[in-house]
Amino acid sequence: MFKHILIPTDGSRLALKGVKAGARLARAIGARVTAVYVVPPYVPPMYGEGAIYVPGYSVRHYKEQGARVARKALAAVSAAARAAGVKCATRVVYDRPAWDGILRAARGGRCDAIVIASHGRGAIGGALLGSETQRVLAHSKIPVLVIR
Amino acid sequence: MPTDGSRLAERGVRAGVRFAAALGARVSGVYVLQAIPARGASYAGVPAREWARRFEAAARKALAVIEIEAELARVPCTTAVVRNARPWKGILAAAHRRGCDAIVIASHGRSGLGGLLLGSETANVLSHSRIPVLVAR
Repeated sequence: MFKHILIPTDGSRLALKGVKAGARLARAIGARVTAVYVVPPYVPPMYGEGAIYVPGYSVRHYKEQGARVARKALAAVSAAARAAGVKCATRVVYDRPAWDGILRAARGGRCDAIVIASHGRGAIGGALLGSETQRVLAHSKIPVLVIR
Repeated sequence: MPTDGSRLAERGVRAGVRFAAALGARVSGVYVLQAIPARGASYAGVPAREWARRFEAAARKALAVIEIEAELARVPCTTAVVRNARPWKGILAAAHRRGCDAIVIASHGRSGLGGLLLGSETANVLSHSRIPVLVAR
């Protein structure tokens, strides 16, 4: 069956649900796991003809902050994988939109399945699918397990 | 595991059976019959009873594919024909009634509109399901 499962996270509580389910599934079928966090690349705020640079807030600063948030979110996945006794690698991808980064990570890691929560941070309600999850589903070439 | 008898749905079925085999799960196949011709009427010169018979034959044929795949993989399997005007509602009701803990469904069925979008029934199953859904492509 699946040998290598990609688990995207945005660090939200809902995403963690997908993470736990993904780790359990990986254990049940003997797969390894790659966790991915997608950081949107820095875009300087543009007003009219020029960019505004705030002193003390630079691209480097943004990247560091993004990496810190990503590490924290990915640590939760590593912990869940360790608890389930599953081999787990982590990756930070700088890409926008997030779904594209997720699918790129899946291709790059030669994953054969994606386990994703139905919603992440941007959830509106219980009845709909999260926007990134929807796009992952629409564009993925490999099976996607949606956890609710 | 819902099917509509299409080739794409069959692909989902094969993925679902492999998945179940790997997990040691059992599977339920379900086919949702949409249109039940009114009794006594006749469409295109064919009496309604004959239509109903044809629809049911198509349903059983689609479910037989699931039974065969499951038997080949040695996965315990039951199948059922469900009647509902909306396939996704029938699918979710069947999952609920049978106490399923996951749904495996193809990304498209009979009315798929190309590779980029999700099938409409699959999209509806995804947005209304309370249990995990594996979308096979």
